[in-house]
Amino acid sequence: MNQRSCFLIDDDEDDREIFAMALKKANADYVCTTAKNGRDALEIVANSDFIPNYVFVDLNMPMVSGRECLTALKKVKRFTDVPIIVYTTSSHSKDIEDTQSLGASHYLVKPTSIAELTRLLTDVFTKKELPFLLSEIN
Amino acid sequence: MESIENTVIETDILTNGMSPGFNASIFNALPVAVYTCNNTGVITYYNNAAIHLWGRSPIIGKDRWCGGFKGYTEDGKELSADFCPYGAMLDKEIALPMDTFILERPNGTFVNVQPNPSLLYDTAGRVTGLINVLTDITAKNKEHHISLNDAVNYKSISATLEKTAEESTKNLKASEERYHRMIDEVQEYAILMLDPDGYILNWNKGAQSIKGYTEQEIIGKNFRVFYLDEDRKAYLPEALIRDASSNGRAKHEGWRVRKDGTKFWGAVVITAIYDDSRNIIGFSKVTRDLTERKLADDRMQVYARDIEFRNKQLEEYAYIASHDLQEPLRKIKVFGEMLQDSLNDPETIKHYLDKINASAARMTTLIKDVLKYSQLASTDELFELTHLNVALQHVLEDYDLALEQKKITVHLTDMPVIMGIPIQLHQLFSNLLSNAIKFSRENPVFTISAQAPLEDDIQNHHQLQKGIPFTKIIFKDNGQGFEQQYGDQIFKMFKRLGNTPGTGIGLALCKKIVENHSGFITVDSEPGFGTTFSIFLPLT
Repeated sequence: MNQRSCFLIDDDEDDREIFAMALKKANADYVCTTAKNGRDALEIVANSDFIPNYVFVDLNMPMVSGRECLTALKKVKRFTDVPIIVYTTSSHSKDIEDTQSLGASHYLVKPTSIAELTRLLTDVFTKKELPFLLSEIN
Repeated sequence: MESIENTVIETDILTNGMSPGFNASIFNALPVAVYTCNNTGVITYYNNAAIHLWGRSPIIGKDRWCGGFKGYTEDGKELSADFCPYGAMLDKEIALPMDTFILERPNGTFVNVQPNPSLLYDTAGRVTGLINVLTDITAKNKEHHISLNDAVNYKSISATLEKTAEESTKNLKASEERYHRMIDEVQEYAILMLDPDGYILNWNKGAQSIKGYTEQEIIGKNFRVFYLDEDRKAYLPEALIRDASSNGRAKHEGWRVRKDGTKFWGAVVITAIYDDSRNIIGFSKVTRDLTERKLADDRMQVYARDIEFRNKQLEEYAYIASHDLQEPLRKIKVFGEMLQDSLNDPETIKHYLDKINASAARMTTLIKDVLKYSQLASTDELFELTHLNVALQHVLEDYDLALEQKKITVHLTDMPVIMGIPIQLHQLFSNLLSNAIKFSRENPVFTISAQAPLEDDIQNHHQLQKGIPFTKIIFKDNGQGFEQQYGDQIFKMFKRLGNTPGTGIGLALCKKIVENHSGFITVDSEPGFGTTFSIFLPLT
């Protein structure tokens, strides 16, 4: 059971495809479980004993938003040690500050290049000391 | 000289048979003038004081009656030397009261004299002559004159004083009157006096014009009448009186009621009035009608809220520009990059090109919709009488092809005429209709009707409680519907429920159009049963 996994929660089909591609490029050993919104994600967590190595959660989603999802996941006991990384197009300082206080480990602004996303994912998987905000904000 | 005269007198008195024991030296010692005449008026004796009084020495046995140089009555007539009231005394042999007279001395000085003649008798009781005592009353007269003057002066002073007092009183009265008039004439302020219990004691023109009561109507009433029902129930007037009693004055601004029931915004200052022992004897109350200012303030607040709202909208646009508009752009770049990595696989190339095209198309739609939203104005001149039936007919005509293809039945009942912006109302119904078509299922039926708001609606929405007549337009479909808990989200920009088609602006646009018309929109939905939009619009 050395299979490592990421749990991606994103309503955007294109972004799920882009993430899978970057993940493959970064580390072939990771499998990716996806949920297309917060409600689905919480259902998956509730109905299984699934513990991913990392959670990536989008913010702007219908039904249950990324914030609500983040808040709910932080309350799940078996997720206590799982890093939850915000994965969003928003670079709003309020979103960054709010999610940090809600207990997110890192904040990753969806990059405009697959190579950049690959590099950032590699950093997440390999480096111990990373800043909260992973992307450079202009 | 003295001794010679004395000798003469003595001799003469003796000659004329004065009574024995008559001692001339005694007479000379008297400080008053004394002289005697025989029964024909011829002077027979005078003493030293008489010489001093007359300023001369008459010739004994020759000069008659008065002995003086010249005499005058008090009112200035010269007395004849031949006529003398003493003669009458001698004739009638009785004492007569004598008037005072003015004696002129040879040196030209004057003396006021009071004569006091008495008849002289011999031992047989026959009148032998008279003895006259002349008293110099000049000094007394002067006193009398002074005191008279004094009296006159006193009288004039007292008259002056009286006049002054009268004038002062008059001035005081006039001043009081002026003050009263001044207060009375003040138009801009209601100035009144209250007794310690708040009962009105006086009234001015300002009070009448601000509050509408005449003096006759209001004097004696309690000032509570100026307050709103709810303020009276909350004892606001009493609280103000208490405040003024303990702090000297109380200030307050708030809505007040005129006689005719209309309201005005009053700025009130109530000041306690004390007597000398610091007891409160009443209150002055000055009220200013600041309705205009209050309304201007309120308008300012509305403008401020409007500006705040617009700022928020700008922020929203900034967010959209930074987030939603960048999303398709980011995808175009990422898929372009992925396309470059797989140039040898035609199927993957097509896949990524489709993604790129879709993102570009989405971006175009987004930009158009954002522009449409930002251009929704609501200035007064855009409003005109709009027949909603006509507006809806036009929208249905726009969509007749889609309605026919999907075999949608539309029931449209009578719609009211409202003041509205025709192009925006067209957009509103167009968005709702296209939304309903998008989420329609089998046997679609749309019902569009209008009615008065229900009692429930009035209770749930404060906008309907202001007495302005509203119409409720119901836009009902039997399509997919959604969970009611997302009822608020769907009106927000870029909010889409799940992977539904569209930009997420359509319903945000509807909400803004309805708000531009001072109305509001609500939604009721149930998955599988359809959605009902309720649009509340003011009729005037």
